[in-house]
Amino acid sequence: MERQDLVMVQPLPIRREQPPDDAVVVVRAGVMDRPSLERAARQCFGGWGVLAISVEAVIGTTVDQACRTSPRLSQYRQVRLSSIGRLIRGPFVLLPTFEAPHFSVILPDLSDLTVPRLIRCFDDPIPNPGLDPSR
Amino acid sequence: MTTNYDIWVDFMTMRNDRRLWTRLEDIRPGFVPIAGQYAIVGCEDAFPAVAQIISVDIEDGMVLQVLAGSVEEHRHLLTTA
Repeated sequence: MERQDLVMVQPLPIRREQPPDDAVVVVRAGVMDRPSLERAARQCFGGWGVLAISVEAVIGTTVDQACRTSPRLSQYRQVRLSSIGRLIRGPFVLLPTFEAPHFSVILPDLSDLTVPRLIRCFDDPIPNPGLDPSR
Repeated sequence: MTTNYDIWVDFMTMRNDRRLWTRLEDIRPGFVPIAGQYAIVGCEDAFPAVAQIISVDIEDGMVLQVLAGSVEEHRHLLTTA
């Protein structure tokens, strides 16, 4: 590798914690169409050097409450649900990153195999159950 | 991209302090980000929001502080070109 190719990025901040149970529900807001997923993964790569998308685990609360109280999830009209187990069987690696309940789903690439496989790990989009009715 | 926002963001990456990082290539053509000023941020299937541009670096990208509430609530902060 030539010197000018050596671009340093910040390390992805990983929390020191036990992985959640397989049954724990995972939420990704938005409809998860392929272009926006790929853009999100590339953005993560630009900042932290890994292709990944952000999800939230629903731990100690309900999906409705998580969608209502999370500053992230409440920004979206629709959400898609999965679980820790479904993603691991995907098979994808989940890392507890940044602040709980944020997790990063690591993608090996953005190929025609990987991205559709990731999308299939989630249920179809549903209206955001935490949406403020005034919006 | 045909959008009604200045900067494409993935709100799922926003921290609990409502800060998020994004790339310069996620700026709409013609928009010039200036630290301290405000911009409309959003993505295809989210409600847009107003964010203050905290820092801009050609190599390190941008840090934004997303304001809670709608664009209308914060429209007075937006600079009209």
